[in-house]
Amino acid sequence: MIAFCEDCGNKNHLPDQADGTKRIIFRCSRCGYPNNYAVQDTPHPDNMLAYDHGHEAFDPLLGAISALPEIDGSFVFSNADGLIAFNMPRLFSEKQIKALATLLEQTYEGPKQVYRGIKDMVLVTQNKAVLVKSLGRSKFLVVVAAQFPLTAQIMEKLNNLIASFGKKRSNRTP
Amino acid sequence: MNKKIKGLEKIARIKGVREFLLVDENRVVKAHGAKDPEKKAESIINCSQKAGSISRSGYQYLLFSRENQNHLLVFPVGSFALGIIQEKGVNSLMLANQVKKALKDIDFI
Repeated sequence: MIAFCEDCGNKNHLPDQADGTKRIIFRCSRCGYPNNYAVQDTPHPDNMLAYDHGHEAFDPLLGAISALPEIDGSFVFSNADGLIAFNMPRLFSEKQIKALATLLEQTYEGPKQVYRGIKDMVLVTQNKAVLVKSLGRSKFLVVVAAQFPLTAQIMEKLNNLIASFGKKRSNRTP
Repeated sequence: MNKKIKGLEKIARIKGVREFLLVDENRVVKAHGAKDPEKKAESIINCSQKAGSISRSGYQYLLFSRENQNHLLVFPVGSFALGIIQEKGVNSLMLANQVKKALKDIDFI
């Protein structure tokens, strides 16, 4: 199996794990980082288009979020780098996701200049909701949901995934 | 239109509305309780226009959560945009539904 290093993003080839393995532990062959993280047992559905532009760290997060019921897909973008990673239904092209990311960024950033302390944004349309959550200073997580509000159970799972991702990243920061 | 704008007083009376701002382009059409309305007008109308171009059918509302719990809601109102700051502790979704209903009653949307 292939496992990505959480620190440097290197692809590591590991022996196949026994069925039911939920956590993989290995030392990165390139940087030596001791990886220890949960493995999602829900594979990406075939109808999902996934891409992680040199930031493989986001792939497990986006895969897990997009596999949740009520969620259509998710992606990460930043002010500086644009679209970084996505896991979205195939009906969206990469170009469309980039355009969506740009518009969302402009929508999200505008009021921040005037209204202090803005954290997250939700855009509610007739049949979808788009949640924009800040992942630090310049990166944003976008979750496209089939409904809003999400059920409490799904919202909790979503928040837990984001929180544990943030925790892993802050643990890696010296 | 003036009658409709006057009808916006209904919005101010909704429990949980701390301030509101109706904006057309960069012009403040009507404000209630908003400090520096001109300063806020541009950001409200800009984000509403961007949000409106995301989906073909437009958008219903935007909700910006804030650390101080005075969340910001933005609604498209024809070619205008309505920005609302809610009181702390108010259920944002219930408030959004009440505002949508009030706008419908005024025949704005």
